[in-house]
Amino acid sequence: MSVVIVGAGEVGYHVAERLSNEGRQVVVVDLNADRLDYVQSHLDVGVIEGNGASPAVLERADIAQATLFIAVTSVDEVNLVGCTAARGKPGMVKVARVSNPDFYTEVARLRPERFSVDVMINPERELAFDTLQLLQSTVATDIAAFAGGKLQLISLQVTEDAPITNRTLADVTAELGRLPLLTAAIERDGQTLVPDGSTVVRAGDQVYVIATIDAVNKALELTGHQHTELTRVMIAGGSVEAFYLAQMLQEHKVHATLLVQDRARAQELAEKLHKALILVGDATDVELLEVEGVGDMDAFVALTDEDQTNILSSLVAKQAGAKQVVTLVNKLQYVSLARRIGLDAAVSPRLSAANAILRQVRRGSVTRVATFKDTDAEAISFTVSPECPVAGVPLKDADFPDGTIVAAIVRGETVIVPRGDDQIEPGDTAIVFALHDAVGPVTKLFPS
Amino acid sequence: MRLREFFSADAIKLQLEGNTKDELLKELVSLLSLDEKSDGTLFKMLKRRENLGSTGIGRGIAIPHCRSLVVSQLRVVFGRKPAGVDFKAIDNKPVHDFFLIVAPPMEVSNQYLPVLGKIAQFAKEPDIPERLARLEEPEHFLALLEEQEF
Repeated sequence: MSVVIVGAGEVGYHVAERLSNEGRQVVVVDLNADRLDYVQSHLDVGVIEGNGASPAVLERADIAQATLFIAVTSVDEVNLVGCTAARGKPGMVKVARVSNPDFYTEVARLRPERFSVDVMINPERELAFDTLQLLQSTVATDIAAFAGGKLQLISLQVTEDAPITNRTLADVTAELGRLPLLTAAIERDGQTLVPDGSTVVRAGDQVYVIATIDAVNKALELTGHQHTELTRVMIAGGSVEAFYLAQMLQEHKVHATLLVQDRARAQELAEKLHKALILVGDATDVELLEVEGVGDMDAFVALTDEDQTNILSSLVAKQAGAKQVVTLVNKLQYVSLARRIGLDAAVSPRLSAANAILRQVRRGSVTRVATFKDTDAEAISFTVSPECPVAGVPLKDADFPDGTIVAAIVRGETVIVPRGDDQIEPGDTAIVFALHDAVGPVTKLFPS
Repeated sequence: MRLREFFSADAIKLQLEGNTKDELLKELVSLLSLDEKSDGTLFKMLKRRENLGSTGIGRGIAIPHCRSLVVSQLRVVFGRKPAGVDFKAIDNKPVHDFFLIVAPPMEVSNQYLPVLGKIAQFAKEPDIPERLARLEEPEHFLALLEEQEF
């Protein structure tokens, strides 16, 4: 199955990396020869230099053989024209990265065939959505929702005095009984491991827990955290991401205060956001943050267009007592740096966009995927067909590849966080946590 | 929590006399009936806050606010300047309606942000600037708060 990706920026790179690791044939098209050199020296993919919206260039990329076309340059119009120009195998899925909200208006949405696009991905909106999910679980550093939000995969750091510190998972599980909660992976000393019953949890471990909504509080308690209600959020910046997040918070009846440096932009936002408090000011100013009560906020989110400003204002907010801090970083290298310097969680529009794209392109048996920022693992949601060789077999006897764990089974309206005696059945949705190397092999177990 | 609980008729003035940003801030502070020294301290703090960025949130409304030891509990004032005054608001339009909020630095009940948030929301209701412009008596302002269920 071959894939043509237009745009070798961070989104294109990230998507190309994931798809080629899964054994797909990937060709990346970009105008910038230096970017292509970088891609070629790091990934096992083909590259074509040229304008990805041009039919002739796409032909050189062997578009006729492609079943998937992904246009993710930073220019919406190039992505849309690329989709129109791309003629691949019948049924080829076309994905375009589109940021301009005008393309999402009713007129455009009612006639997507005008642009011959199957899926439009808006990085800024995806980022706001990811941020909202993080905020709703105030101590998690990363989060993904499955089964219509009934199930959450959250990443939590285990504290020194947490009830699970220095205990084996078997011991903890025995205590939990049938409580729908399971540790899918542990990140320790920069390594991700898929644990078994004998694994001992240590303080400082980053654990990835899958839990139903009702059991999330128990997961927080076990890792040494407390749940707090989200009522007030301060957002630094007047970016598009800030707008989307404020809008989402408004819908969830959470009060948002936005600190916007640029007066004209502040006015524009004040007109669009009917509930939020928009103030003009510099979000790196300690005094301003303090007088606006950052220490009493449930969360502070830094969403300006500048990574440095975001990191700086997040540090200031953290110091002033903000309970949770989420920082937007554009440069992917800064994502892990953010946590090392004590910030709670980092989000990146490129990573959010890449995740959204991966979710969409793995349609077929795959319905939802989440990749995590600092781990070598991802969570994939599969629809189980009658041909699935591991269906009808107790999980403890089923032949799953190393580095995978069935984290949850969704059966109709029921969500099961399985133990060894449970089994998946045709018609179920199975949520599997897998190390990157195991994604290809485990996907083969779930034919569509 | 209702906004109405925090306002009283003696801390409402529908015909403010000041003609500049500074004069209006001083006049709003005076409605709190503090001593002279406290008035001065509070004015300076509010001025300092305004220098970090105007609290004029647009549509002719400003919400000057700060925390200060000069009050022992959260206090609010509402004032109107029918002619309007330049307050460097985000939309650059003159400000007519002023909501002053002052809270002590350590508040047991932690009402500062909720009150600030509620006033901001009240101010953003569709017809509020017009209805504030029609107020004739301080009691009308209190009735408006009640009617809007804020």
